[in-house]
Amino acid sequence: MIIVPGIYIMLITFPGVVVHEFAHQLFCRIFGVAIFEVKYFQMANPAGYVSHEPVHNPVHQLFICIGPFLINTLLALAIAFPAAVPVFILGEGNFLDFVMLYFGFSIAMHAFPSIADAKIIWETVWNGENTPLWLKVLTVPIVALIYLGAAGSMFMLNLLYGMGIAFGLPVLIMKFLAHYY
Amino acid sequence: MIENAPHEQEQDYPDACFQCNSPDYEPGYAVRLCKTCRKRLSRYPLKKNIVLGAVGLGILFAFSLYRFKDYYKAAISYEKGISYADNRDFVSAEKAFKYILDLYPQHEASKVHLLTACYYNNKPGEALAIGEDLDKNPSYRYKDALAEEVATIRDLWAKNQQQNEDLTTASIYLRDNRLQEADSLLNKIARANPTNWEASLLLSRCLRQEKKYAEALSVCNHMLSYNHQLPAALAEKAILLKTVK
Repeated sequence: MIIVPGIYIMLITFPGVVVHEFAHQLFCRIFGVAIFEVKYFQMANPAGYVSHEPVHNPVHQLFICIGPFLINTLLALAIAFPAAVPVFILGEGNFLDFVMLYFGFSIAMHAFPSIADAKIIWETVWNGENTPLWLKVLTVPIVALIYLGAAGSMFMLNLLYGMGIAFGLPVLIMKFLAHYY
Repeated sequence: MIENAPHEQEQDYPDACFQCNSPDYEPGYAVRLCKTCRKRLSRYPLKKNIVLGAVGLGILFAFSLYRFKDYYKAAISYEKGISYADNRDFVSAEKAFKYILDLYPQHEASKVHLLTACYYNNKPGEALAIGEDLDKNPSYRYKDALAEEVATIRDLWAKNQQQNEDLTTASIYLRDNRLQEADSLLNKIARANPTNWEASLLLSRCLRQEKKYAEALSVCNHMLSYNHQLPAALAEKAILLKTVK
């Protein structure tokens, strides 16, 4: 078995890293959180980061951290959908379709928030003085899922997620539409 | 994502906005910033190469979306066609696969499924023409499922051909009103090959003439169990039901 080092996987799927950091940045902008530095991609660990001020509202922190999960997943699905249909249902894909599938897959693959994101959520929301109880309760499963996702990524869970969103979900949606439409 | 708060010593004036030194900083934040500076910093500019990349991807996406309209219709039609064929509604399946072939005349999977639908709809001429068209560029042979489907239909077709002589004899018996002999021979053919539609239809007509309505109805239902929409079988069943009434 050939094991590809993580940094090369990051390099191959760099559009996903860029979109991941962009999603953090977007939510910072939405909530008016000051950003000091953004690194969209680098050949180092971490492959990208957004350096911002500590947030005022813990709900904002939650959204800034899980933003990439929402944005990467939706964007990947939108990009891959028109390409996955001809490739996987009709077997009629061309070069453009495969390029779009690559973008969709790499973006979906980097949807999972990192362990650093989970730590910040925990520190800000769980340990926050002004955090309402419902938010603390909501935070526990979210942080647990992020840790599970990070652990699963050691076993290529992020790869499977990327494939599921970019290749599998469009086919399932089309089957559903064909059945009920 | 990294949280980053400048230390007190990094700030020139500890009681002012650390960017513009305005004393009008927003209270309640870990980092002292005035409203204008916070807004400006939250709008951290996107790098030029990121914007160019996004524009490029946007153009590709727009082009992909432009082509998607036809693909969408074809894919819905294909999925419906497969579903109709699985449910043995071959007239609807034939219509769905013909629609795809109007859009993409070279779509092999649709051709193969259309071959099956035409066979089950008792359209041997059309099935034969599709079979010949498939043989012109037989790349479907590299796809196991499609190759198997074509082989199955060709086997059934060959069986029909082998029974042609008996079928002609049975037709002569029926024309000469030798109903028992026709009945017996057609029964033999239909049992050996239940998808020999001509034999089953003749058998039903023969039984109808012998006033064996229940048996004739059973033959029609048997045909319809292979194709719920087989037009000739539906017509024969309608005649039978009208006669029985």
